[in-house]
Parts: sequence; structure tokens; C-alpha cells
Amino acid sequence: MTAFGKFTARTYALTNAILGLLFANVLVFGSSLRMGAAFTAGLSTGIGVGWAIFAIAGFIALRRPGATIDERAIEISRRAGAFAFLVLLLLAAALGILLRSEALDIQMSAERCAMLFMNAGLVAWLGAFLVGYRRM
Amino acid sequence: MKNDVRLLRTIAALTQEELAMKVGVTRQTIISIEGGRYDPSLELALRLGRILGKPIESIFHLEG
Repeated sequence: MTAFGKFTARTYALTNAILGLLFANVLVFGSSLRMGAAFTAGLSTGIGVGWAIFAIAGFIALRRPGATIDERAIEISRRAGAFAFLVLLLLAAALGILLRSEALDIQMSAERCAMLFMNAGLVAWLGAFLVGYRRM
Repeated sequence: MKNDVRLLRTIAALTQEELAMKVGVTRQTIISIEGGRYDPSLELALRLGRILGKPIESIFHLEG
């Protein structure tokens, strides 16, 4: 019924250990990726923040099932995900047309395109989630 | 789908928070169910029925 419905203390400890290992791995071997300091910093921050969120939410969920993420929150998140995916598809289609247009002559690097996609996806998901949370 | 969760909760002398804790969801979910904005899963409906002492068909009704 909840995201942590089948969650036990053992699963929680094991998942924390795996996430901790991932985090330590990026910190130790991140520089060997040859992807630039910003990429490595972003990767380690992302994994670290994800681990922290999991650790806190998992701890609360173990103490009180359904207190943090229940079936309604999961449903809202699922719908927000579907909406964000649709937004990204439309954005990709629009960009595909605009960037190939000779009349408009718009230039955009691959890095900017990727950044636009990530941010658009994040904003679309967050916006849809907040609207859904208020309405449902 | 309509439901009598608010009425039955009041009869059972439970607050939204207490009912939420007993069935393992957030208070916001109970508010949404009572307001008719969210239809619970079968599992949650059965849990509600058990706590409120009624079968689910007497708590939830199809409209029309």
C-alpha cells in the first residue's frame, strides 16, 4: 500500500549500505571518470542527497508506515511523471522543428539542449506534483 | 464514487489523524477520501472497513 510497504529494518540497512558504497565510490574514483569537475561534483551531490532523503524517509517509514509516502502520494507522483514525460516529448518535437528551421536560424549546443531537457522535466514534474497534491 | 467515511469516522469518535494512523496513510489522504477527491485502493478500503466496522460496500457507493 505504501512505497515502503514491504520495507523491513534489514532492507533499510542493506539499501543504506549500497547507497553509501555508491557515494564513497564516486568520491574516491570520481576524478577518474574524465568527465570534468562539475560533472563529478553533480554526480556525487546527487547520490549524496538521494541517500540522505532515502535515509530520512526510510527511517520515518519504518517507525510509522504510511506517514511519509502513502498510496495517494505515489499516485500523484505517477501522474506527475506521466505529465512530465509528455512535456518532454512535446519539447523534443518542438525543438526538432525549431532547430532545423532555416527561417528562424536558432543555434543551440548539445549541452544547452540537455540542460533545457533536464530542467524542463524537473519543473514539469514538480509543478504537476504540486498541483496534483493540492487538487487530489 | 461517494463514501460515508466522514460519517462513520465521526460515529467511531476518531479524528482524521487517528484514522490515518490506524490505516497507515497520511491525514491528507483521509481528507481527500472524505472529500471525494481520491478513491482509495482496495487494500486501503478494506483497512478502512475493518477500522470503521463496516464492509466496504456500505462505506463506498457508486454514483448514478
